Amino acid sequence: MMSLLEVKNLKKIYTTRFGGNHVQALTDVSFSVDAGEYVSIMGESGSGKTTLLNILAALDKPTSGDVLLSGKDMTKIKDKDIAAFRRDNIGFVFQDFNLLDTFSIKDNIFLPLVLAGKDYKEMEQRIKPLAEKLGITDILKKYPYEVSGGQKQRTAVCRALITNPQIILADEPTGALDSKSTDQLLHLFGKINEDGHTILMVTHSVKAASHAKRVLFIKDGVVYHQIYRGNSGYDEMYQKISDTLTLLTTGGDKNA
Amino acid sequence: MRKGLFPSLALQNIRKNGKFYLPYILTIIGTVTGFYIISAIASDEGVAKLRGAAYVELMMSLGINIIGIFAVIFLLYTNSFLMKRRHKELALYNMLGMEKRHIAWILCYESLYVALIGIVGGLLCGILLHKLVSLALFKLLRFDIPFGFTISTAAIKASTILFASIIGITLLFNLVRIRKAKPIELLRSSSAGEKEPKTKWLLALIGVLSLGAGYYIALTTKTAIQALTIYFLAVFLVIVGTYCLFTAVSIVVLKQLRRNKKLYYKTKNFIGISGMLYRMKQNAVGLANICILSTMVLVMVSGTLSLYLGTEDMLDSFYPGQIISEITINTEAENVFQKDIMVENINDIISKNNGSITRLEEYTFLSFVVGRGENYYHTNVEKSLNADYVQLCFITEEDYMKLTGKKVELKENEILFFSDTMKDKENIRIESGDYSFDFTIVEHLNSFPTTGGLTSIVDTGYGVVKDEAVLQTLYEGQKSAYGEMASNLKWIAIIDTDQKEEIQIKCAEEISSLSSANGIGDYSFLYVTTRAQNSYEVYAMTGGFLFLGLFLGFLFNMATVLIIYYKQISEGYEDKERFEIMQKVGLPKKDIKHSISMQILIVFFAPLVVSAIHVAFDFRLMIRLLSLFSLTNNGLTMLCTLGTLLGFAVIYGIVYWLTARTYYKIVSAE
Repeated sequence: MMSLLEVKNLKKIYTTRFGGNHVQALTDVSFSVDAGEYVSIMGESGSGKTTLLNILAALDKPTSGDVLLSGKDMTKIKDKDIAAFRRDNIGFVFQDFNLLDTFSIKDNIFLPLVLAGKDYKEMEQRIKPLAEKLGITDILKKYPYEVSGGQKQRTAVCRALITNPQIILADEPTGALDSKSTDQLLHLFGKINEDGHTILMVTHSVKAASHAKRVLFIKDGVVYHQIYRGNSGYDEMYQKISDTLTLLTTGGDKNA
Repeated sequence: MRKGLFPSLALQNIRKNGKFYLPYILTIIGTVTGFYIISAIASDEGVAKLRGAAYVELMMSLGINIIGIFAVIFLLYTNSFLMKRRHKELALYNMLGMEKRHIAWILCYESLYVALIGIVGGLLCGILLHKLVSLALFKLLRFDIPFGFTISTAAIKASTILFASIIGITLLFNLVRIRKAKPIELLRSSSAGEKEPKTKWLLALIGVLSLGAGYYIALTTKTAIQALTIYFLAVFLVIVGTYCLFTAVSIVVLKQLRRNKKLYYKTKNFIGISGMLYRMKQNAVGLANICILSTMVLVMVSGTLSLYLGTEDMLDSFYPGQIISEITINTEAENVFQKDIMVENINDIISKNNGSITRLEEYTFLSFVVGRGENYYHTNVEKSLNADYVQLCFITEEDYMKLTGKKVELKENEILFFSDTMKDKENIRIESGDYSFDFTIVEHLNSFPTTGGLTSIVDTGYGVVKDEAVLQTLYEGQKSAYGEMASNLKWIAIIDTDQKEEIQIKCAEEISSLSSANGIGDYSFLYVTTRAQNSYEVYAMTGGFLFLGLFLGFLFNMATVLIIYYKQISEGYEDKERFEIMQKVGLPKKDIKHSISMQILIVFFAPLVVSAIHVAFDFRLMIRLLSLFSLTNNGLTMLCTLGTLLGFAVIYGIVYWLTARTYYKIVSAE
C-alpha cells in the first residue's frame, strides 16, 4: 500500500542574503506516514523541526528531495496553485494559534472555506458537528481576544478540520497552553485520530509526543531514531521517549 | 556611564529609525522654511513702502499666525506617532539596565539633534527660497521687483524661538510619558489587542444630521450677506459631520454589510469588510483629519485662485472706465450743477495734458434701498430688521439711449425694468414716505448698461424713467422717508483717454479740484478716481490672498501627505501579521496583493471623495461670497475649482502610489 505522505532525501540549505554563509538545516531526511497514523517529530531547538514542517506545509521549498502527498509531488506545484493546494489538503494547528482578531471565532473557522469560495449554507452545515465535538459551540460569536488559550487552540483545530484535509500538521500545538488545556487538547487529538484523521505533530514536549503512535527523532538535520508505541500506555511511552532523548543528548553520537 | 555614549546612541537611534525620523525631520524643515519666509516678507522694509502694502502686511501676519498654530498641532501629532512606534525599543533599554534618567538623556540628545537639523536646515532652505518666493509674490501683486538679497535676522530669531519651544514641548511630553510608564507596558503598548469597534448609533445620527444641515445651508443660501453670516456655521456643521461620518457612520454601514451573509462570505468582501472595520477604529480620526485638511486646501486654493484670476473682471465692474468722476448733486443749491460745463472742463484738462478722450459715458443716477412688500416696494425698512431688501437704481430715458444706442419713448408713469425676480410683473408700486409711485412696465430688459459703480449684496432692480423730473420726484420721495439717510442724485462720467497711466492719475487729480469757480455750479461732493491707481490695491489684495492660499495649501498638503505616509507604514506592520496568517490558511499571494490594494485604495481615496463632495456643496456658498468682491464669473470659479481638484488629485495619486509600494514591501517582507 502506498503511504499518504512520503518524504524522500529532503535537504535544505539556507543562504544568507549576500550568499556569504550557508546553513544546513536539513541534511537528508526520509520517512513516510500512512493514512490514519498519528506521528510526532521530536528534536531540540535548531534540529531542523520547523524547517521540516514548513516544507511539509508548502510554505518553504527544499533545496533538494521530494515530498509526496497521496503520490503528488508538493515541491513541483506551481506558486500560484500552492495556496489552493494547501487549503484543500492540509490542516494547520500552530503554537500561537494564528487566529485573526478582526474575525469572530466563527469567521476564523470559516476563513479557509470562504477562501475556497464555498457556499454559506454548506459552511453552516460543516461547522455544527465539529464545533460540538470540540466544545466551542458557545463561543462561536465571541472574538479571539475574549476567550482562553485552550479555547483558541480548539478553534484553530476546528479551522484545520473544517476543510476535511488529508493530513493535519501541528506545530508545537501545546506550546502556549497550561497543563489542563494541554491534556484536553491531546485527548482531542487522540479522538480526532480515532475518527480517521492523519496527524503529524512537531513538538519538543515529551508529554505531547507520548500521545502519538510513533515518534521520530531529528538531530542535526537527519532522522536519527524512531520508536513505536505498540501496545504500551502513555506513561510507558513517556519513559521510552525520555530515555531516547537522554541517549541523544549524552552519548548520542551515531557512529560512536 | 561612559561619557559620549548618550549622544552617539541618540544619533544611532535617529539613523536606525530613519523610516520614521526622516519624514518628521523633513516636516520640521518644511514648516520652519514656511515660517521663516512668511516672517521675512512681513518684516521686509522694502515691502512696507510699496503701494497696497497694508494688504500684504495683513495677509502675512495672518499667515504667520496660521503657520504657527499649525506647526504646534502638527509637530505634536507626528511626535506622538513616532513615540508610539518606539516604545518597544525604549523599553528594551530599560530592561537591559538603563535607568529612566539615562533614557531621558538619550531623548534629550535626540531632540537636540532633531532640532538642530530641522531648524538649521529649515532656515537655510528659507533663506535660499525667500528671494524666489518674494519674486513670485511680487509678480502676483504686480509690484516692481526690488533688487538685492536679504537675510532677515528678525525672522531667524522668531523661527528659532518658536520651533525650539515646540520641540522642547514635545520632549517634555515624551519625558513625562517615559517617567509614567512601566517597562512591561512600554513593551506591549505597540501590540495591544484591538477590540472590534462599537456601533455608535447616536454619533452616526448626529453625523448624518449635521452634515445634512451643513449641506442644506449651502444649498439654500441665496444672498452674499446670508452666506457671509452663515458660512462659519456651515463649516462647523460639516466638520462635525465629517468626524462623525468617519468614526460612526462608516462603522454602522460596514456592520450592516456584514449582516448580509451572502454578501459577506465572499472571499473579497470577507477580508475587505472585516479589514475595513478594524481599520476604521484606528484610522477614523486620521481619515477625518485628512478629509478636512484636503477640503481646506481645495477651498482655499480654488477660492483665492478664482479671486485672483477674476481680478480684471472685478476691476471692470468697480471701474468701468480709466477715469471715473462722480458728483453728488446738491439739489438745494441755488447755483445748479451744470453737467455740460463739467464735460467741457474735463475735456480741457485732458487735452491740456496732451491727450484726448477716446470714450465718454455720462449719466445721472439715483439709487436707494427699499423693502420688498408682497406686491410693492416700501420705505418702511427700519421697522423690520429682517426685511427683504432690494436696491433700486434709476436712470433717464435720454441717458439710456446715449448709453445703449436704442430708441425709447416713455410716458411719465412708464418704466423699463431689469430684475431677476420681477420678470412676471406688469406694474411696480413704490410707497415712499409721503409719495407713492405706480409705474407700468413697458418692457422687461435683459441687461442694464451700468451699475453706477455699485456692488450689490442684495437683489437689485434697474429702471429707466422718462426724464430728470421723474428722477427728481423719486429722489424727493425717498428723501421724505429717509431724511438724513437718503441717497442723493449722482452724475457719473466714465472716461477713457489715450494717455499713460501716470498722466491719467494726474488728470484725475486736476478734475477733482474743479469747483463752482470753474462754472460747473455747486455740488455736495466730487470724487474722481482712476482704474490705474486702484488696480495696484486690488491686485495687492487678491494677489496677497492667492499667495496665502497657495502657501498654506502647500503646507497643509505636506501635512496630509505625511499623515497618510505614517498611517500606511504603521498599518503595514500590523497587517503583515494578518496576511501571514491568511497565507498559511490558504490565501494565494495574488489575492493578498489584490485585497491590500483594494483596502488602501478605499482608505486613501475616501477622504478625497468626501472632500470633493464637500467642495461641490461649498461651491454655491463660495460663489455668493465671491460676489461680495464683485466677482460674478461663475464659469471661471468653476474652472478654478475643477482645476484645483484635479491638481490635488494628481498629487494625492502620486503619494498613494509611493506609499502603496512601501506598504506592500512591508507586508510581503519575509
